[in-house]
Parts: sequence; structure tokens; C-alpha cells
Amino acid sequence: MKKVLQIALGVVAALGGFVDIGELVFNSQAGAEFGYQLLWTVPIGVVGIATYAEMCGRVATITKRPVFDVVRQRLGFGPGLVTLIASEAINILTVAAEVGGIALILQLYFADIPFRVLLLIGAAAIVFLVWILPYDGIERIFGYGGLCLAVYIVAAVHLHPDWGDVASGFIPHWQTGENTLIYWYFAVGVIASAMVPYEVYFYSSGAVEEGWDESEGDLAVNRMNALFGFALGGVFSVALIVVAAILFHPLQISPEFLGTTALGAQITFGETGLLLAFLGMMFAVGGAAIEGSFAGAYAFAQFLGWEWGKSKKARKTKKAPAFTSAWMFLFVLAFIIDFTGANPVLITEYSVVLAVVALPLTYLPVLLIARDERYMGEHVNGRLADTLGVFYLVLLTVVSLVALPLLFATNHGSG
Amino acid sequence: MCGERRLGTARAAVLVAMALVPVSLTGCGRLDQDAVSTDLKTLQSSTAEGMLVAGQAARSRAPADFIEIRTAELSKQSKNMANALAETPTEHGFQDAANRGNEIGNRASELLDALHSDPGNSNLATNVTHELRALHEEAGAVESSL
Repeated sequence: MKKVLQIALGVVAALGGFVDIGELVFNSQAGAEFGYQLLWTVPIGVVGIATYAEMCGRVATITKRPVFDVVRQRLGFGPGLVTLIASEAINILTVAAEVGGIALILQLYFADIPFRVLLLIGAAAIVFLVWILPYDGIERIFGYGGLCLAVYIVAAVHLHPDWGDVASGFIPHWQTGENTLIYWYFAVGVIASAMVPYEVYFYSSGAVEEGWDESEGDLAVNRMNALFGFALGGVFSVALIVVAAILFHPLQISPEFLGTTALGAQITFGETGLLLAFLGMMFAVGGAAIEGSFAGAYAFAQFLGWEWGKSKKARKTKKAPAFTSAWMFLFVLAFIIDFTGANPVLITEYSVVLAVVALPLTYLPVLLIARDERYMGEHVNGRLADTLGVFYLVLLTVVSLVALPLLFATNHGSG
Repeated sequence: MCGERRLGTARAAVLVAMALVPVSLTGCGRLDQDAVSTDLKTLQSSTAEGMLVAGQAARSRAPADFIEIRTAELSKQSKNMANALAETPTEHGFQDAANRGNEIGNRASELLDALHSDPGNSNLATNVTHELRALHEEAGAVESSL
């Protein structure tokens, strides 16, 4: 029973970690611009993140090493440092996007309060919660709160889509015509927003923090969390695309604000829908802000050999002051970026697309360790994990080469 | 030998620069068809979304704060597009479309501002819905005519 509960909590945590401002922005835009045509990109992203999250969790359980430890060990100091710098730059942008997103979401209900004041309130509230809550408390509160986004799943069904059209959207196809580049920009965006590196830094560090152990059946917990948590996250993504495809695509609305995503729930279910969307977005984006800042602090600490952690043990012994300073520093930097007036939605688009460039560097060392019998023993990658791992590494390498040209050629999807 | 090569490179650079001057002058600072079309599509989007928001306000289905912030954002977007279409001259043949786009953007912005100031007025919201629908359709027609 305890294991079932642990799996359920893990699934919720993985789900909460999956849906962030990147999903909210890119999935709504993809549905509004191309109807159901980009649905096929969701399972590609979900299988990719589930594959590598499972690998990271397994590596962490067997070797007791989180991702950045592995990166430094397998790539060496120089390439590891390049990965660290790239990852931190992306983490800062990601946290800036999420913190700005919190202020944008607060604006939906507090329109009279200036954006910068909401920014300060949102950032301060998140830092306060992280300060007082234990690791598992953070996971649960933001994971459960994020479930309010299920309003989009109910809305997608309630809006009576043509299920045949929805099903055909899952068949990958080659887009031609005047919108080809924009189509591929959003395809890259949806896949990348599902596979952003902070998710695996956070996931694998969490496995070490929670003391996952092979002898206690935690490998099964890891597999279930990765599989069902991210798959459920994928269902949320599909729902966002379907709702945008039904409500916004026929009117040629291009969502450039988080409020447009909220409008989808509001139109379908009135004030109740808006409130659920507001709460769901708040928890999902808030949780992602914490995960992003922690991922950055984990990366620094693991690469530089600092004490790190947010578990009870680490808090009681107060042995991780540098780690704590690092995540707070990331929040402050993110706050400053947003305070300058930078558009959080635009920051999201840049952070997701730039993250793609760092993805192969993040996932290559994980794959190398996970398939190395000297480290993993009998828990080395099986044929399926290996095949998927190599496939996604090749895919991400190709995607990383085209991501930036697509970003600039399409004027970040605006045409 | 090395000096001659350097001189040759410099001459080539000057020739390329001279060739680029007339090319850049022909389109310099003018909106081409793509730019006008993109701005008109953005207007189509903002008027359509404004229409949906106003529709919700007309039926009292959304809180005033939500209507206020959405109308403010969409008004600003419409105004920005109107200004973009007015501030820069277009390439030959697209000026009429740009002028009409400017008028549509300004009118949409006015309507959204009015609803922003009085988000609880359902009669006003109904009128704004109808007018934004007409502007949305007109923006689409102008964009299609390019």
C-alpha cells in the first residue's frame, strides 16, 4: 500500500513537473495556428522525456549519482563546464519565464495591481514557500495544485471535437506551403517544451534526495513515475492543443498572452473554468519556477562538489548554504530580468528553443552511463531503452541544429 | 604578393558594398507584402480574441478583472499594429491595405479601451462584440486581397 501511495505521489509530481509555462504557451499556439495537425509531436516529446527520466532515475538509484555528477564524470571538466554554462543560462531564462508567468497569471484576477508589484509578490511568495516547506511538501502541493489544469481535459471533451480529426493529428506528416517554417518551429517547440533539461536535473536529484534504493523496489517506482507521470502530462498537452484548435483556430487567433490560454477554460465553463485554469496554471508554473531554480542550484552544486539538498536531513544539518544561495540567486536574477519589462511569453519561447541546443549535451552522458555495465551492472539499459535513447539523441541533435534558425526565420513563430 | 592579395580582397569588398547599396535602397524602410500581411493577421487575431472576450462580458460570464486585463492587452496589441502600419510607408501597391489596417487597428483599440473602462456594462460589451466581429472580417478581407 505504501508503495502504491509512493507511486501515486510520484506520478503527480512528475505530472506537475511536466506542465509548465512552455507547455501552456507552445501547445496553445500550436493548436490555434495548426488545429490538430501538430498533435503527433506530443507523444514524441512525452516518450522522449519518459525514456530519459527513467534512465536518470535508474542511474541515480543504482550509482547514487544525479545527472550533473554523471555529466562531469563522463564528459570531463571542459565539455562538462560548457554544458554547465549552457544549462545555467537556460535555467535562468526558464525561471525568469516562470516567475514572469506567475505575475501574468495573477494579473487575470488582480488587474488593477501593477505588473511589477505582482511580480514581486509572486517571487516573494515562491521563495517563502520553498524556504518553509520540505522537499516532499513542495512536490505534493504544487503537483496536486497543478491537477486543476484537468479543466482543459474536461473542456476538450465538452467541446465535442471530431475525434476522427483528432486521431489523424497523431499521424506525423510533412507540412508544405507558405507556413512550412512556422509549422516546424511549433513542432520543435512542442517537443522541446516536453524535454527541457531542468526536468531531468530535478527528477534525478530528487531520486538521490529521497534516497531511492534498488533493494526497496524503487526502480519500479521510478519506472511507474516516469511512464505514467509524463504520459498524464502528455494528456494535458493534448487537451490544451484540442481546446485551442476548436476555439481559436477557426478565428485565426494567435495566442500571444497566457490570458488567451485561460480564455479557453473560461469560454467553456465560465467563471468556474477560469478559476480552475488560474489555480492550475499558478501551481504548475510556480512548481516549474521552483524546479527550474533547484535544477540550476543542483547543477552548480553537483558540478562543483558542493553539499546540496532540500531534504529533511540537509535542512536539519544546514549543510548546504551554497546550494541554498544558488537557488535564491537564480530567483533574484530571474526577478531582475522580468523587472526590466521583458515579456515572459517571449522569454519562454526563447528559453525553450535555446534549451534544445543543450539537450544532446545533457542526455548523451546519461545514455553512456545507463548502457555501461561497469556502472549499472544488471540494471544496464535493455534493448528498448537503448534503442529509444539512441533514437532520441539523434533526433535531438537534428532538432538542436534547426531550432535557432527556425526561431529567427519565423520571428519566433509570428511569420 | 601578400599585399596584392590584400588589395584584391579590399577591392572585392568595395564592389560588393557598392552593389548592395542600390539593393538596400530599393526596399529600405518600406513595408513589403509579408510585413503588411503579418500585421493584418495580428489584427485579425486581436479583433477575434477581443470579440470572444467582449462576448463573455456581454453574458456576464467573466470577472471584471479578467475583462479589464484582456481588453487592455488586446487594445495595446491592436494599437501597436495600427501604428506599425501607419509609421512606415509600404512598397508599391500595398499602401491602401496598410491605411485600412491602420483604421481597423485604431478602431479596435478604441472599442477595447471603452470596454476596459466599463467591463460590467453588458450593452456596451454586446456592441463591442458586433463591431469587433465586423473589423475581424474586414481585416481578413484586406489581408486576402494582398
